[in-house]
Amino acid sequence: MSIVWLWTDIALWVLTLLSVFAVYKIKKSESLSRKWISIFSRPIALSSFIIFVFYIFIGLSDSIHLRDSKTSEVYSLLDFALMPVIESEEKTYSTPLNYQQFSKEYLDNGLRGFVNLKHTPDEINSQSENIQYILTTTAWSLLVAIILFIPIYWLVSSRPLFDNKPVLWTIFSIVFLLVWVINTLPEYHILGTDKAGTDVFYKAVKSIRTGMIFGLLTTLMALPPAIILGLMAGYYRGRVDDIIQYVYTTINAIPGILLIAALVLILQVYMDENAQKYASSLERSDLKLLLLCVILALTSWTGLCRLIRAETLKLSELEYVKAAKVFGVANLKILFGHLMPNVMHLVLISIVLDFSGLVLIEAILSYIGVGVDATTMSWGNMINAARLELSADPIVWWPLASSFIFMFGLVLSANLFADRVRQIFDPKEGEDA
Amino acid sequence: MWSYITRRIFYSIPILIGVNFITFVLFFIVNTPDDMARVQLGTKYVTQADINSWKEQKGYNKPLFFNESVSGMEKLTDTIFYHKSAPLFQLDFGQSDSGRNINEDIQQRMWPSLALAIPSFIFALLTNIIFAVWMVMILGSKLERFALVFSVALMSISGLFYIILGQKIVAGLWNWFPVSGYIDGIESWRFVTLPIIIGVIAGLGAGVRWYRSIFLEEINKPYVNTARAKGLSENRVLFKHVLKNAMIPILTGVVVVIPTLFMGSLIMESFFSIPGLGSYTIDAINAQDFAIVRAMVFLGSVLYIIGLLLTDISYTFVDPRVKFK
Repeated sequence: MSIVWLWTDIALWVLTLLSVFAVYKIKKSESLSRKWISIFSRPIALSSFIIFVFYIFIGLSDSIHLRDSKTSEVYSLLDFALMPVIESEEKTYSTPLNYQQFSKEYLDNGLRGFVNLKHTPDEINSQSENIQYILTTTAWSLLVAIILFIPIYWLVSSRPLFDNKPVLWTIFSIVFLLVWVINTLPEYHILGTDKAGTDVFYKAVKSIRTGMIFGLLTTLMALPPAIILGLMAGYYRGRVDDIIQYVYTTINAIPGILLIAALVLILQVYMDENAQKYASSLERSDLKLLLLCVILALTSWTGLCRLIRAETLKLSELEYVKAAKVFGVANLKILFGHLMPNVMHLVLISIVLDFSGLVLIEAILSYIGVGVDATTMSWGNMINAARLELSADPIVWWPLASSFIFMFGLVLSANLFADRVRQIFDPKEGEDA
Repeated sequence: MWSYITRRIFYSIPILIGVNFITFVLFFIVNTPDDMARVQLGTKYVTQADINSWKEQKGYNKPLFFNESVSGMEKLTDTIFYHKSAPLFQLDFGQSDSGRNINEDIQQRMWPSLALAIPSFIFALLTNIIFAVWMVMILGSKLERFALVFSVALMSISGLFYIILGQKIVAGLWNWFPVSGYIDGIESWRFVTLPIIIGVIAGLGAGVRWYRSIFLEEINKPYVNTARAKGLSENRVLFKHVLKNAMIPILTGVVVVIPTLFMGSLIMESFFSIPGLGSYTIDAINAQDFAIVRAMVFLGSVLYIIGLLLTDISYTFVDPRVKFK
């Protein structure tokens, strides 16, 4: 076993370290920690934050890749947890939690009928037995979850922020869901299988990492140009401002999705020509994901840049900046020491707001055919593949439904959290609007 | 006023040149004509001679920026850059890589796009504003808080979901509308109604929140307090004063979008097989027809710049305080 570092893995872990550092900084600053506490004082914000962190953990566990020295196949930590369903591929479709295949087939006795799946409890032979089995597992999971939840409850419920029903319910639901999945996964295809017999739950869970990387890396890569150019335009004004304004107006003028499509097409041509350069298809698709984030960042920094420019224009009229200038503080020091901390609320708001939008854009890009690599598991690719299944008869609904539910969970929690962050950090919004 | 407008028009010329330069770099330097030829002819078993003849046929066989082999001004004009970008400024898009006349295609496909885009835009605008006003009227109530969370939920659902489900249920199961397709003329309403409804619903969450925030910003201004202090009813304050003043930010946000309606909607048109400019672009992307993509990029930019121009002009009409600086 040896660790394989993909580019996006590295980026994601660097990001994790950065956010740990940010939390440390926030804890040290009294005014900031007060703001964050007031963010979390709204149960809906804390609940959605917990769900969001849960998603992040899944994504991170999918970002440590190990290469098996014998078979030289690469698996992530998450893959090891999901091994039972990776190894048991079925022949074709099966509905969620079913013990039989979706379509009829010729049996050993020459008749047509439903074949039992490979990955299903052995002793089950009828639908009622199946339901009974699932109910028993669920009941057991509920019991275990309650037992596990008691110590958490003791630890948490005395703390002021956690002292309310919605938050406790959220934590309990996550615990229950985890226990239930751990119990059910070795026996069932929880969300059924797709046309090729691959487990849909596996695909949906693996897509979390793709969506997360897409949202996080893109927003983060857009920050440096947005912050630096925005500050410079607002502070230096004149010629510098003209040039920077010209650059972002020009980029804005090009229809966003077309610019992305054009860049991705070119990337595709380039990667096809240099296909032999990449060690494995995993590394190739990973690099494509990273470059896709770069492309999106290139087209999306302009909005924040404009906001920061406007804010800096206002700020540099204020006394403290003028005083700094008079005292002969170096321009760079004024830019990054005096001005930058005062536009950080805009940066934070834009990070949390853009994240969810980007997760949604991923699906649309995949639909147009300029999204992530076809071999990368992503919600966009799942939706794209599921479109034709919807017109099948009987209707195949579960791959589409699964991808939407997983995506909805992530985007909704991010949006609700972002809403609260904006409420607290945006001076335009009232403290309790 | 007129000098202001002419000055704004002159400002937009460098932007257009910039756009043209970026697209040229993208499509001709990063992705050379040789690459294009290979894509069009199929990647395998293509000889250099095939590529050269394809380039000659499409006019890609000249140097990119500077032609050494001719004399005088032709050194600059007898190049791909000049031949491929100068006509763009006269909105002459030339031929697609598959040999079709792009201008004719655009003229033909513009109408279905507009038939879908204009009603979608108007209905979405009205619905969003009506709901936003309603939410401001019940500001602070439980219902309003619920509506707010609900609109966050609405905007957390992928637009594809609305389209796929709407198409499946309303057109597929209930048969209220045709699933996809298009007929020219008055009959087209049957084909565009469903995409319009879906478009309005898909944009509702984000739209309502956007207009609500505009109204809220307005409602905290001193003149609203004055109006209330005069003893005006809450409804009169809202409809007579707040709504009127909120029109300025609303108008400026809206005007910039109007010209780009020509471009049509990429997703909607391709899902409902409406032969507009959006699906034209998608088809071009899938066929890797760079000539069409380039034309659409340029057209989109021109329309956006016209939108900016209109915004500036409309600003001066609705808010006379804006001086022509």
